[in-house]
Amino acid sequence: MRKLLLIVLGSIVLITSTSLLAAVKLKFYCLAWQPGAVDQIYDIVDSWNESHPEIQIEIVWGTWETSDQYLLTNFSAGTAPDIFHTDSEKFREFGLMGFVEPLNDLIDNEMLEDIPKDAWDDCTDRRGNIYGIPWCRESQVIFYNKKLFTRLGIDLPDDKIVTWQQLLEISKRIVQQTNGNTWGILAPLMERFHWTLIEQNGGKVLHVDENGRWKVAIDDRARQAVGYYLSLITEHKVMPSDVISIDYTSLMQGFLNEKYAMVVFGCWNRRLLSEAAGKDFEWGLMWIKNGDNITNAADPQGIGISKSCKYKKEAFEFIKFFTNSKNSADISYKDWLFPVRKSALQDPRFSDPSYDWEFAYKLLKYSKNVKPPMPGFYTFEWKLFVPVLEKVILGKLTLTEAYKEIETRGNELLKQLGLR
Amino acid sequence: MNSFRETKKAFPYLLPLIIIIAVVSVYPFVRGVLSSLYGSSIFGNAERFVGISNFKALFNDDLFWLSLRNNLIWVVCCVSLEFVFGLLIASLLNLQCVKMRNLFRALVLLPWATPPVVAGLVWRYILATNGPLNIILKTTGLMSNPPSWLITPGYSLTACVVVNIWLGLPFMSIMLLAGLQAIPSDVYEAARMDGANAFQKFCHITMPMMKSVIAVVVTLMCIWTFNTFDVVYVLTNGGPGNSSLILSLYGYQNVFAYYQRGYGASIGVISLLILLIPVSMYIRALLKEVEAE
Repeated sequence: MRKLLLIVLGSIVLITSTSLLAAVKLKFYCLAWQPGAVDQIYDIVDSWNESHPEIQIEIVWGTWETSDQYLLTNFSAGTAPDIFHTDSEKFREFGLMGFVEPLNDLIDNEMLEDIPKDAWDDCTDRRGNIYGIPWCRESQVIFYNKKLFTRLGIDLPDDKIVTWQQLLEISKRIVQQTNGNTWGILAPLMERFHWTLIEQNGGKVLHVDENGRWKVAIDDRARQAVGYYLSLITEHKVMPSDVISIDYTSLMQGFLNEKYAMVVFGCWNRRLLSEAAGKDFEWGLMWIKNGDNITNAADPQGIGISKSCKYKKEAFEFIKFFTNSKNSADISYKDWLFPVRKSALQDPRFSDPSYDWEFAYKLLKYSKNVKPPMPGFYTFEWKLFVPVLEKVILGKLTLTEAYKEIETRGNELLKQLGLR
Repeated sequence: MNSFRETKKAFPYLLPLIIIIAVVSVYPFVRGVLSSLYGSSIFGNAERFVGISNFKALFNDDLFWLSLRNNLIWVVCCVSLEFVFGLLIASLLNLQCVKMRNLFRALVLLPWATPPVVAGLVWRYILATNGPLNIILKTTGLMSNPPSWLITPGYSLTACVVVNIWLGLPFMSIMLLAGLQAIPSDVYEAARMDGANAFQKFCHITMPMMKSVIAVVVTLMCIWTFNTFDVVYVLTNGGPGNSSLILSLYGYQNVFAYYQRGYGASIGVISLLILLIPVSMYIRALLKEVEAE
């Protein structure tokens, strides 16, 4: 009897270890960071690993600040994670560099139809290669201090969407009525509010011709939008130069301390406010429009497969599971974001009035990627565009000089990048 | 001939070390230099030989000159202030009358035990617009409207210098303390009997006898400070308006954020050429010390 038991146990151990040894092991580089989303992803990956012993997923957590460095070094060294998560347009950039696998042959109709076209566009190059699966996005909102607004007698329209002029007037009132103790609004440069305004005004900074050659030329509408954004700081003095800061925590602390009456961030920021705001602090969401244009920045994210991955089909199977309607709804909800899948958006949690989900959801219809679809956009933005705007904010350059510098140096930069 | 035979004998024993140095230092160095001669378009991973184009572009790049200027300010301010404060701390710790000297020595070492990134994050909190420093400055009435240290040009680089000094001071102090303790006490005794005052003893005994230690420490600090990256990266990321951009950070940004690997490598090569000056000084100082021994 003992012998038989030993044989059975031995066989079980042997079978299990053999199947584990034979399993395909894939690394998944994930950038989720909100605690609820992290837990949810652990649960989803665990359930996948349990139900798919032949394809085992190992999560490698990364941070948004260092993700480019991590991915580029690993791509170059041939040690890139099999599956990775990043900004949607980065898939196109990395794809053009030859680091990411086009997924066209793996994507099925159900997925193609359930994800909106503009979300696909962000991950697609001019030849139609799709390098990533759009996964989630946000709506950009203005958080406002409800109690302060009531105290100062500031009323918002019923739909809580104000015009550019109204936003300026409200900001001015706040500064005046608080004797300069509270700034009207704060729209950090890193939140790309200026790009949203350019989009709302129908302006263009980066132009592409039919041959795919790019050019920097700031048209009048873009100038109006950038001018409006900068005038809040330089002319009307309702927004501080703190917009330059990259210190998210410190800026949010300023909102909670009534240093800023309104702040522009993605709707994911509601999590921090729901946890960090004291009982006396009440916040609400509002937005801005230009005529009928209610565009806000979507900052879409996606998931893709490295070119060096040996098990692309298996990796895609996992992505399909990970981004299916239920999972993408669960993760996005815990991440205080929205899934891109139309079916996942039917989840009633996204239109719940609590924590202003309903308002953020209403704006989602107008969310789009406001970053121009130029490969190397980040290089243009962080090496040139933002530093030049910073100089204007700090009074080191006039707007006219700034536009000239952006165009002259910008076109040189595009040439260097092989874009001109 | 004899010496050649001895070298030949020693070669097998040196081989593991030579291999390690070749892999760890020589290969990355050669790779870096070669990378600076290549360029790539964002539309393809394939790199093409561009010769010295990256260097030509670099010399016409305002940001390169700005970061080089900032780097020089950064090194001069950090190292000179670290030296002054380090010498002061070392002298105090060397005084016989100071009680609990070991405790103070341990305390001086504390910042050194802090990883630069952690120190950067802590200081970012301290120096924030609404951070503890500004609250203290406001409540004590020292400044009615203190600036945002990290996001105001003119202050941002200064703020980075202060944090780097805080981090570098322990090493400087301890090395200078070691130098001070190596001076025989009878020399001071003889000077005292000859009627020398404290200042004269400092100028005519302490400084000359510390010369070699100071040369080594200052040169090493110059090299390390020149290559510093983490403190500026965490505190300001080179901003605002590139006002605190230094060479190492600019090189990093070009490679990892702007997809210009060859260009970033050429910044590394220029840094290396600049650093050859203090490195050669360091080697000379070391050789002098060996000869003296």
